[in-house]
Amino acid sequence: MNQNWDEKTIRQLFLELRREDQRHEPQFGAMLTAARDTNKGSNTLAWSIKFATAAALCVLVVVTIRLWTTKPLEESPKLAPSSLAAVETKTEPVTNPTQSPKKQRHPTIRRQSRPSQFSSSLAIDIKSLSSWQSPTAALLQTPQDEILNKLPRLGESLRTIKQFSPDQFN
Amino acid sequence: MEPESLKELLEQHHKSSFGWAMACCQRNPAEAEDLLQVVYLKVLEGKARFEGTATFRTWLFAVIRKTASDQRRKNLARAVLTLKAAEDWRRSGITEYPEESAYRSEILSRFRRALAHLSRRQREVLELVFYHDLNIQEAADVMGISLGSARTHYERGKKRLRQLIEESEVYESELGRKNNPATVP
Repeated sequence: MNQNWDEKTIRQLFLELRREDQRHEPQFGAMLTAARDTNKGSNTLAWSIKFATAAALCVLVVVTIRLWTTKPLEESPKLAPSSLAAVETKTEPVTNPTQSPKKQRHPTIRRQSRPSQFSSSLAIDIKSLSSWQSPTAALLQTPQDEILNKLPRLGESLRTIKQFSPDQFN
Repeated sequence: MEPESLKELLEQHHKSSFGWAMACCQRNPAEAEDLLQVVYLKVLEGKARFEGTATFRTWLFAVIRKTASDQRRKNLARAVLTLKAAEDWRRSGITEYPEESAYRSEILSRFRRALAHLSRRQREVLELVFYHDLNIQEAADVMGISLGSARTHYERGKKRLRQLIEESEVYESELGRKNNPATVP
């Protein structure tokens, strides 16, 4: 190639390149048909993807609605009854320690949402606090509790009083 | 525009469109064919509309260039995902195909290699001017750049192309001299 080549040379080179390209040139009609066929295939694929996505969304919506509607049935609408039920199940060990722990559990309580769980645990606490007894409370009980906690009424028979009198034990 | 008349226009410009598609796909015929299929569908389905602000050929070339650019971006993303980017990058510099040496002359092969080493815009403007006989203004319209910018790319591209070809000539002659020491004076 010459050192002082000009635009004419470049044009000539590009002309050669064009000739080379023309060897690979596809027929217009065949190419258009192939393009349309490819497009049909890709359209089918695109539609099937869209359909699958729509179906998945529908299933998701149905599942969400189902969960949403069934939840209030499991947990009672008012907090008090559910919490009472929870109290019953949870406080049973206190009243009846011989009962097996498996029976004490209630599955619906577990499934409750957070606020409901919180309220039921609060109710349990309240109940257990109100019924709390000191472990030494039994030591403070005496047979004369009734006399000590009771005032004699006016006109009450002496005999009835006497039968509780300390002389009886002497 | 009616689909039938569009189809006629596309057929009329099919040869030059394919040439330009080849330029946009680094002379890969299969890629150029795929690109042109996508472009024809775009045009016929009305996704790309000819508004008549430029000549049909200029507009069509701009659509081909834009589509090629989009596909290049997609291919790059795919290549990155499949960890093929490094290999593609290595191959992008010099576009050489196995069948090339069989049917291309030495000069043409050298010319193609030199073209591949130009920047994309330099290559595009030279192709549009010398291959497709557009003027610089039309080339600028196709490339979506200003006339001044197109002119700069044109001048620099010519200079660089000449330099690259001359360098390859020197390299080839030195290589020939090494291989045949008897020919050295």
